[in-house]
Amino acid sequence: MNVSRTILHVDMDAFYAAIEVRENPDLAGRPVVVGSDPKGGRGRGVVAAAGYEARQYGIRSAMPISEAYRRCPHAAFVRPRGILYAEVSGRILEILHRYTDVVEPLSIDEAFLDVTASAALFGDGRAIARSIKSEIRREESLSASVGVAPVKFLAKIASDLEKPDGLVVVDPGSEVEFLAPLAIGRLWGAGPKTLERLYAVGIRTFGDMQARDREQLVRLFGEAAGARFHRLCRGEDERAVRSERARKSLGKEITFDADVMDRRAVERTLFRLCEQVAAALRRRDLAGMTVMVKLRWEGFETVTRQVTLPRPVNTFEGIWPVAVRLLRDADRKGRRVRLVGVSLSGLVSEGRGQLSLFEAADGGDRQVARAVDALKKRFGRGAVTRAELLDEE
Amino acid sequence: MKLSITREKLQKGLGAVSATIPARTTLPVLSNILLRADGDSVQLCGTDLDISVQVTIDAEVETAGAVTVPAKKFSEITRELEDAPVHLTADQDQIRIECGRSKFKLYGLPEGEFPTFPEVDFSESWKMSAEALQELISHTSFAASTEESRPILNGVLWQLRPESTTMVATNGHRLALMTKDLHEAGAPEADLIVPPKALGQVERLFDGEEQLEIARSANHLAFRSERRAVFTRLIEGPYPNFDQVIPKDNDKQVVANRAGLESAIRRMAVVASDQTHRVRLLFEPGAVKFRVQTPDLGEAEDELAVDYDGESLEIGFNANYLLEVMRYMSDDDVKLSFKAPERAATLEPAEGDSDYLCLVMPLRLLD
Repeated sequence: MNVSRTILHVDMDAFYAAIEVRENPDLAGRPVVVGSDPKGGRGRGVVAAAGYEARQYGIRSAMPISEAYRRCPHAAFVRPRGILYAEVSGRILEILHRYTDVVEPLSIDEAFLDVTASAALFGDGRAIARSIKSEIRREESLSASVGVAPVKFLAKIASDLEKPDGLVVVDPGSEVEFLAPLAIGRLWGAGPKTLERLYAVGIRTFGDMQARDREQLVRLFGEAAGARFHRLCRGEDERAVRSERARKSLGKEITFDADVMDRRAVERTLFRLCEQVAAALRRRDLAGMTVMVKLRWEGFETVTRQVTLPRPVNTFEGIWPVAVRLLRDADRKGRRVRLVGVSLSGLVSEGRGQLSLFEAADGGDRQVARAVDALKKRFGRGAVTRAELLDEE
Repeated sequence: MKLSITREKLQKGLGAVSATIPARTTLPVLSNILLRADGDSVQLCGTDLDISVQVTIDAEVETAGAVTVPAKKFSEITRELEDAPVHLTADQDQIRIECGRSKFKLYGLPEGEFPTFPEVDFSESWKMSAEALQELISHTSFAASTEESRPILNGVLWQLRPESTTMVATNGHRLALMTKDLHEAGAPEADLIVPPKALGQVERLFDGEEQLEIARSANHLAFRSERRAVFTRLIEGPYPNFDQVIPKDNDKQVVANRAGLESAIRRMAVVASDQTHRVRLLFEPGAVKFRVQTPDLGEAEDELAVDYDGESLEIGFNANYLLEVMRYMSDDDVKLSFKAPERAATLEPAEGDSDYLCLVMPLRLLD
C-alpha cells in the first residue's frame, strides 16, 4: 500500500470507573473498583475495571475481587452497570461516526477509526482527534485518549502513551524512530512466552528488534511470527480498520457466583443469554449463521461447540433450540459448571436477508421479536418477558 | 448357510446395500448387512431404520440360512479379493469368506437381532416406470431442506392424482416442482412426504427400463422390482400449501440462454459473500447486468444479452439457488419471470408447455 492512511485509536480512560464517578460525584478522588461483590475478601468474581486511584494500589481488571479487596479494602467497590456502560458506549460510537463510517469498535471502550478520507472535511488526524476528545468531554463528561498513526498497531500504542486524556500523533515516516525507545512488551501478539524469549536474546526495546535482520527473527521465532515481528517493529501493519458490518461475532457469557451442578439452572441461564444475544443482534440489524456455545467446568476446563445454520438467525426461536442441543452435547454430567455462554458469528446485515416463500411461517418469530423489542424500549426491560422466566424477574 | 457367488456380483450387491448403512449408530446390528440364502439366490439387506434396501443376487446355494456381517469390513474384503468365485460359509454368528487361497473369518451378529422390515402390503400396489419416477426425483429432491427447524420441508412431497403425478421440494427459499401426466392403474390419490435419501436410493438402485411396483402402508412406502427393493418411512404431514406461493401475476418475462446465464452467475459467485452468496441482477430491455460487491473482498460486473422488453428491474439472489435450479433445465433457453424485487421469481425451460417449474425467493437488496 503506497497511500498513507490516517488511523485513530480512541480509548476511553478508565471507562467504567469514570462513568461511576460521573454518576456519583462522591466517588471523585477515591479509589474506585468496578466488579463483583468482594464480600469482605471472600468474593469470587473479578475486577471489571479499576479507576486510576485504585490502580495505584496495583489493582487491575480481571484480577480476583478478593485480591483487589486485600490490596485496598477502603476502595469504593461498585457493581458493574452493564446497560448504562453500553448506552454510553453507543453514544460515544455515534460521536465517532460523525467523522467517518469506517469505525471498528474493539470493545465497549475503544475503537479504531480510519479518517483518511475525512481530511478534506474535518482536517488532519490531530485536528480530528482533538475534536473527538472535546466532544466526548462536552457531551459525556468523560475523557478519552487518542493515538493517531498511519497503521493500527501504532495508533493503539500511541493512545496508551500519555493516558489519561492523552493525544499522541505518529507522523508518516517517523514510525521507526517513534518505536525505537519503547519497551518490547508493547509488541502486538507477544505473550509472556514470547517476551521471555525476546528478553533472553537481549531484545528489550523495539530499537533492539529493529537492529536484527529478518533472517535472525525468523530463526528465533519461526517463519510466520519472525516475519511479522520484523514488519511490526518498523511500524508496518497492513490490517485495515473493519467497520461494524465486518464484526466477527456477538455473544454473551456468564460466570456463576458459585459453580452449579443443577443442569436446569445452567439451561435457564443459557435461555436468558440466548434471548439477550438475539436482542443485541436485532439492535444492530445483524443476524448470525453460526451458533457457538461455551461451557466451562469447575477447574477451568473449557469447551466450545458450534454449528453453522443454512441461514442467518437473530431470534430467540432460531438460536435457543440449537444452543441447548450444543450445550447438552458438550456437557459432561457430574461436573459443576462455572461459566456458560453463547455467541453468534458469520454475521450478516439483516437487510440482506433471504426472503422466504412461506413468510407467515418463517417470519412470524421475527415480527414478534421486533414487537417485543419495541415494547421494551418504550416501557422498560421488564415490560415483556418470557413465561419461562416469570418467577425470576 | 453355505454358498458360492462371483466376486463381481457380490461386490455390486454390497455396493447397492452399503449406502443405507449408517456410519455411526447406537444399535450395533445396523452396521451389519443381513445375508439370507435360499433357492438359487442370496438376498442382501441393509437399513438405518428409516430406509431399508434389499437386493437379490444369483448364487449357488448349498445350504440355506441367514447371518449378519459387518458391512464395512465385508465390503472392504470383497473389494480386495481376486476375481474368482467366493465361498461363504456361516457357522452360527461367524462367516467364513474364501476366495482362491485367501481366507477370512468375520464375527457377525445373530440374524434375529436384525430389525424386521416394515410391513407393506403389495396387494394394493401400483406400477410406474423407473425412468419417469427417476426424472421426477432428480428434478426436485435437491431442493428439499436440510434444516432441523421445519422437519416437514426435509421431505419431498409426492402428490398422486387421478390424471397426474407431481413432486415438489423446497427449503422455504427456493422450490422445485415437476408434474407428469400419468394415469397409472391402481394408484391411490394421496399426498406422500418422502425422505429425499430414500428417493436417492430409488434413483440409484433401479435401472431406467424397469417397471416398479409401488405400495404404501400408513407410515411406509415401498418400491420394488424383480430383484431390488427400497422401503422407507414416510414423514408426517401436512406439507405447506405450495400452490399458494406460486406466483400467478409475474408480468416481467425474460428469456435467456441457459448456458450463458449459468456461466455469468458462476463467475459472479466467485466474488459473492460466502455468507449470503448475493448477486445483483439488473434487467433492462435487451440485457441483464450482473453486479457483486462484497465488503473486504471485492467487486465484479458482467452482462448478458437477453430477450426482455419490460421496465427495468433490479433484484438480488443467492447465486447458489439460481445455479441449482438451472442445472435441471433441459432446454437451451430458460424463461424467467418476475413481479418485483421482493417477490418470488420463476424459472422454467423456455420451450413449449413445461412440466417443470422452479421458484426462487430474492435476497433483499437494501443494506
